Amino acid sequence: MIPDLYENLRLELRRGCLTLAVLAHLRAEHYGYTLRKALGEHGLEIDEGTLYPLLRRLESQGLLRSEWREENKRNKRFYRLSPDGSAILEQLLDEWRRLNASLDRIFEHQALEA
Amino acid sequence: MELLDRYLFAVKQYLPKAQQSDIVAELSDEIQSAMEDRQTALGRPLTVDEQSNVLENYGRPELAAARYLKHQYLIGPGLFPFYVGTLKVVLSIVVGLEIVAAAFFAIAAGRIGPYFIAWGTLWSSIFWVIGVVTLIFAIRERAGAAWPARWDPRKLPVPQGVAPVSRFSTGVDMFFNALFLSWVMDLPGVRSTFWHLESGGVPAALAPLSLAPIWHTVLDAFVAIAVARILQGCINLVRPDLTRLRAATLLVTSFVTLVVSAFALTAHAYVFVSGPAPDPMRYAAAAQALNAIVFWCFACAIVVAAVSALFQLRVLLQRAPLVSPAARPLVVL
Repeated sequence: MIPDLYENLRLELRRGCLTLAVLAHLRAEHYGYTLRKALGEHGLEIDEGTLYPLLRRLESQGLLRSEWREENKRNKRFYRLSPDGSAILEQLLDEWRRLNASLDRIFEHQALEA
Repeated sequence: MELLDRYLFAVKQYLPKAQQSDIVAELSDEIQSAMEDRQTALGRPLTVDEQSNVLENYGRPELAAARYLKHQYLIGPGLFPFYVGTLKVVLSIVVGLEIVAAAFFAIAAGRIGPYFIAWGTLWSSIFWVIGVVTLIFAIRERAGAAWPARWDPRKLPVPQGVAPVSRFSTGVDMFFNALFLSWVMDLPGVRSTFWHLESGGVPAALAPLSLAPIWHTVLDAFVAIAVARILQGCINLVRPDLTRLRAATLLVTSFVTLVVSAFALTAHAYVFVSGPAPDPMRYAAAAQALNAIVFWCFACAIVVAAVSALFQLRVLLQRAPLVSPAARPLVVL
């Protein structure tokens, strides 16, 4: 029960963070596989079953642009942040910093009380 | 790459036609890249088992495809509470109407048994209701129609002093009252076990014994009580918040039970030996024993009805609604 609960809460916590990480990484052009590896190298493992639907959703929302191009004799779909995506990313990063600061203050306050 | 082709073909079957080639091409590149990385790490081509392991990690084709689909649920969390609420209300109305209609036709025909035996039709009505309501909400979900965001807090019900009437207990109550009516008003199959008053017939085992006339009055009162409880149940199925209606009905029916039981106690004789018996002494003793049992049953019924009446009276007198301190009116200075 407790491990399941932890896993559910962990996934819930990661969901929004992953979107932010994907948008941030796509300031530079990537195709799915290299993006997944890059996120993994930064400590954010994401399985392909989550990444590709997320990329499609973000693209359908106009935050990403994609194009098919040949690389290493294979067609690959390259993704990059759209101008709208850049604007939203900046807003989300501001919100992220505010949240982070608030949480830090809460944790520090509790640590002092303890 | 035979396994990969088979996997991609299987995934494709579960994808929307318009997106099939696009998604499969991207997934193909992803899996090939993963396999190439693994080959580079091993320094040799992958065996069939190793390819199979890579594909297994991508999940079953149905699930791999489902991740790309927009609607993976019939009714989403935005509509679900309204779906459940609508289902409860519509089901309550249909079940209530079915029982009332059965009772109406039964009373008109003078026999209730066959109408309650036909309760099989109730199940088909329930399945129809669930099907139709689910379909309407699923279409609404599909169309992206949200429940209206505007609402009026002033229309929220005022909290009662007691919890809402449980629909389950109401349903059980209605069922047993209907079952009682079925028996009293002549349900075939049951009458072979029990005697029935209208024809004066008695089962073989009790052949020389007959019921005293007081049963006509007593059973008429109990039929009226059962009908009243079924009608109250119909209303409470739709409006479980009407707790005072239930309390008032129970108070009146408990009081009627009390009066009828007290009246019945005055009779002392409930069965008597009416015909020639092969062993008159034995039947007289049986009648005496039955009379004693029935007498004490009525005595117990008086106590139970009195306690129930007092309890319901207490519920009715609890006028103050339960309001939390946080919900007290604001004082503007």
